[in-house]
Amino acid sequence: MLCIEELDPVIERELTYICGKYQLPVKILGKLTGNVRTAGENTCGSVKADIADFMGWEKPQAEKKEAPPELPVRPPVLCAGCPHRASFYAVKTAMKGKKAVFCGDIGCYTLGNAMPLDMVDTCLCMGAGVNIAQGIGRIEPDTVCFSFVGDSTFFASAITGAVNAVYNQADMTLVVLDNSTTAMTGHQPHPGTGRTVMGQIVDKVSIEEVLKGVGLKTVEVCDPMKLSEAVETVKRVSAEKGVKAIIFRSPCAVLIEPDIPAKIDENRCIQCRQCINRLGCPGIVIRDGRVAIDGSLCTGCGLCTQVCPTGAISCGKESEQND
Amino acid sequence: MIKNILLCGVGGQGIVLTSKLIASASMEKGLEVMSAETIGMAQKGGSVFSFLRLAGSDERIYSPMFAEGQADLIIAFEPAEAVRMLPYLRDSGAVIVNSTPVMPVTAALRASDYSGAEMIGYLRENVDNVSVIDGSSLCRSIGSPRVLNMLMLGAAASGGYLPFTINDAVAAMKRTVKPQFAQLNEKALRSFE
Repeated sequence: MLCIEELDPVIERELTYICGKYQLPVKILGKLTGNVRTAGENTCGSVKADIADFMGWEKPQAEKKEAPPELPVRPPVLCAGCPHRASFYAVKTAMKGKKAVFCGDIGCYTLGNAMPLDMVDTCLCMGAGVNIAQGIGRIEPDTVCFSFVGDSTFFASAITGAVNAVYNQADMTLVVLDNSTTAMTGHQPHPGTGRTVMGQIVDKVSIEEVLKGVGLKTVEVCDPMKLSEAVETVKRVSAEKGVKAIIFRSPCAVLIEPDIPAKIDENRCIQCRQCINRLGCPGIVIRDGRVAIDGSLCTGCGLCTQVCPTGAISCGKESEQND
Repeated sequence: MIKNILLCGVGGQGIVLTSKLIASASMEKGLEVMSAETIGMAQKGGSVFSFLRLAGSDERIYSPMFAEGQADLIIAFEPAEAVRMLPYLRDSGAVIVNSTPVMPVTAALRASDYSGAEMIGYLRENVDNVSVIDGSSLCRSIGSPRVLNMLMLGAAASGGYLPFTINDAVAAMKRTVKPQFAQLNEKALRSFE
């Protein structure tokens, strides 16, 4: 018998168990036996090939066409205007030259692992980041340990980790990336949004009150889009001993109306590409060899204006005046 | 006859909405529709595709997906994504492609010179029926960078590739999008009339 199923080989495993239990003379083939690929989605083509292989049929031959030009790879990235980019960049800037570890978690902000941010050193499962950070702090006391968790994941599975950290005297900084929604899975409500899944408007559960309630002495709320302020906050808070938290609060870029796209002053831009190389925002592109703003993606968040060394990028009313 | 359509492009270009509009307009015509699309991570600037299958009352569809070599039509919102999904096109199939490239962050970081032109060239050489849409200049003339999906749908419906007219597409759009965007979208949909 050949089992073809998506994700884990659940049916295959159960059938194998039944065959063993009742000593049935049936061979169960599938992902566990290497007859079906274990990762990636099944396609019509892969299913056909698996069945042909199993039945001993001749495999369907793919027609050979002229080889296409090299295709650009498109790994998922944080959206243009995403506040997580600002939060990660602030922590990265504050920790420059220091021995630090950045424990990630599950959500859009897992994408902070991508270059050039490169700010997710660990990612295991929901709620793991806060626990891994305190563990690393035990083994390597000279490392500044950060844990990043989104607002939704915080409520789902990071509170217990925070309690453990406080009670067991860990030394770490918990960074809550509060974009006021569950962005990755489609903007479901959570206890911090003040709206239930049935649409009822209810009192929000405050992340800072929860953290103070479990014993954190330092809980600072900060807008990550104000870069220098955010960097100072990270430096100040992370220098304290014990468990402390920074809540970077700024709404998900998908939830708010985009502002006017940023503008680049061609006379001031020196083509240093620091905006691209530091932030990796999909709204900043290279067009005809020059740095340019993609107006269809840019939300006018203004983060790049704070990174540009020559002040060549402007946002909002300022950018309108340049027009 | 079952019609297999593949929409592809980059997350954020409005591919899923276009797929919904084609489904909605087709269902209004009494057709059976099944669709499947990439979701989640792919939204964030990744490759996105949407499978659509339309069938008349004399046929049944048993799966929203189809195999390589079975698409009657590929509507590609981005040149490289058209090439990526080209193995799905059947021999006599048609491709409608936007010539404006979306440069991935990885390419910008490596200062790559990807312009999309090499992709359009490859499509022209390997597909008999290619319609190239200059998305960025059409968007500019309409006055919004965010109407590309309506342009692509308009091109497909005006070209007679879909089982409904532009008026049906406009009606489906008005049923779906916020009223304040209806006028702009209609203008984009009717660009090829």
